[in-house]
Amino acid sequence: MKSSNNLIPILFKASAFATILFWILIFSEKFESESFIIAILILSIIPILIVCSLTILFTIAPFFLFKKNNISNDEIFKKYIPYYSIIIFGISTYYMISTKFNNIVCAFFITAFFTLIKSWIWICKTSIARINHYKFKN
Amino acid sequence: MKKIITLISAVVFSTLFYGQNIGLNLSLFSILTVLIIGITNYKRFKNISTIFKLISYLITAITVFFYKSDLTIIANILAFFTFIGSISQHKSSIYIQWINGVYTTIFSSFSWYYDSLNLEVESIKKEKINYAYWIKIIGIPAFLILIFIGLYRIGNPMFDELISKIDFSLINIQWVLFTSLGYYLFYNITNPIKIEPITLSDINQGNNLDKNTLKPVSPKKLNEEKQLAIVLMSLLNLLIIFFTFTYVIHLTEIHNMVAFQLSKQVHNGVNALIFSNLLAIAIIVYFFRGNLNFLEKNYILKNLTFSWIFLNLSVVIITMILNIEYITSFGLTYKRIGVLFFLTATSIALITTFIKVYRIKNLWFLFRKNTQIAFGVLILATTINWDKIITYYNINNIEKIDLKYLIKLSNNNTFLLKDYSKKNKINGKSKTDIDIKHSEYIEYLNKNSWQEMVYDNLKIKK
Repeated sequence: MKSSNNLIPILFKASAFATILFWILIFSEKFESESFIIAILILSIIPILIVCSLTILFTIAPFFLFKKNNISNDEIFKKYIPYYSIIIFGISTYYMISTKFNNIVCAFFITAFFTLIKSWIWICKTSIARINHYKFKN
Repeated sequence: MKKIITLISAVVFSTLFYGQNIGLNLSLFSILTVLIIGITNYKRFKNISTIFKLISYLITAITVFFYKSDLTIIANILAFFTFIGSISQHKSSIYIQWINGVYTTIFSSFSWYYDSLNLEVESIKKEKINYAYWIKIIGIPAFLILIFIGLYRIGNPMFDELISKIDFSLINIQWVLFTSLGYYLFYNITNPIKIEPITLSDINQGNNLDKNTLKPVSPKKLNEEKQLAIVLMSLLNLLIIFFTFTYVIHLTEIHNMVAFQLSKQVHNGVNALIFSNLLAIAIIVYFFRGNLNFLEKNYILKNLTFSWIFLNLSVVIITMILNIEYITSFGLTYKRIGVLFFLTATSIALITTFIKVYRIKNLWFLFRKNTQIAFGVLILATTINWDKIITYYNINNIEKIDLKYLIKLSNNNTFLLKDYSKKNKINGKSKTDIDIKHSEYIEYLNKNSWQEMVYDNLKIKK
């Protein structure tokens, strides 16, 4: 898996994306201790990084780790992303409905959905960029 | 042009749903969706299948306004996905349209973005947006302006007063995000996509069983299978005849049963019946999965199968009668209506299985027809105000009315119950509960914004 070389930067990129999106989504919530908000925001990067990395490693990375050699990343994307996105959307919707659209839960699952989809694109985009680079070189 | 339409739709979406409950807004959203797709994808409106899905969607939109309930909202959402799926590919089966509908709604923009990345590989790469440049152009001046505003506010009390009067509450981040979500949604549905492999294989997979595509089986093996099928079908026919005979005798005795016994009998009977019918369909589908359909002299097996289907249908009809008898004696409830629906669905499944065997159809035919019919039944079911019908039937036909149950139903029966409590003598507790339900509902209706309005809002204004 060539794209595994680029997985660590993608994990950091996804975590940064998730942190920004999550905090934008819950930004208008009122916090009792507003003075600590910056500290909470910075500290939240750690759990977000852990959750984000584990989710990507366990749900996206296996598609690329266990692929057959003759299948390109682009083919994997086209083949699996429809079902993956529908399943993630289904899980997210289920939890949002079961918590009666609790703001924090909604923010969490909306963030999770968009981060995972973006991560798929980042992983596959890396390989496209490599093809691009190779083509232009030759 | 398309972008402007999407942007306007997103703002309308926010106006309809931001901080609102479901009501008139869902109906208006459905009409807006149809209009926007009509403008952006008018060429896809030309086939009957899509027009049928469009009508179904609009029916559910109307029912949400007239008698909002969980059923009407769920049906509206399902009809939305079906309609979008039909716009993606109208030739596919209804369950593929559901999948394509969901896929388009949640993923279309990402898919177009990803494809645009691929296109760049083939041609010269587009010039990348220079984020550093834009941060410099916007970020640095904004930062410096804020610092200077702060300084001037300290130095000039009049300037400070003017700045403090500016109402920043107009800029609502949540509203902007919600509108972005609306933009994302409308961008997706106006750019329909489909899951290529399953859609293509579904379209290529016809409804008829093709002899040439079947795996060849030796005549000896095929004959053995036919014999097994004949023996099994004969025994099952005999068994079901005996069962029907005893069932009819049992029916003549139901008048002697007490309510509890009858209730237990009906529910146990229905569960067993539905399971036995599903098993029957599975057995028939197994035997008629391939070469047995084309075997010469298979008419004995086919006739036995048809008689078994017919006998199963007879048992379903008898159970329906039992259930209707039960409803006549003890009134309508959701559970009893549900039983009737399950029995109707079982009958439809048996009839489609009959068609499958008679006209030599494949398994996909069964899935397609049954899901299509189920969708049609669901849409038709939403056109009925069930809570009102249950209440109306029970208060007019049943001696011992279970008012506790009727009060627990949705608000769609509130006015009917209030009217009933005014005209009839009922016990104090139930009367109080009805009055509370009525006053709470009136309060809820009065609090409704125009987006949350339902038909009952118009009733109380009269």
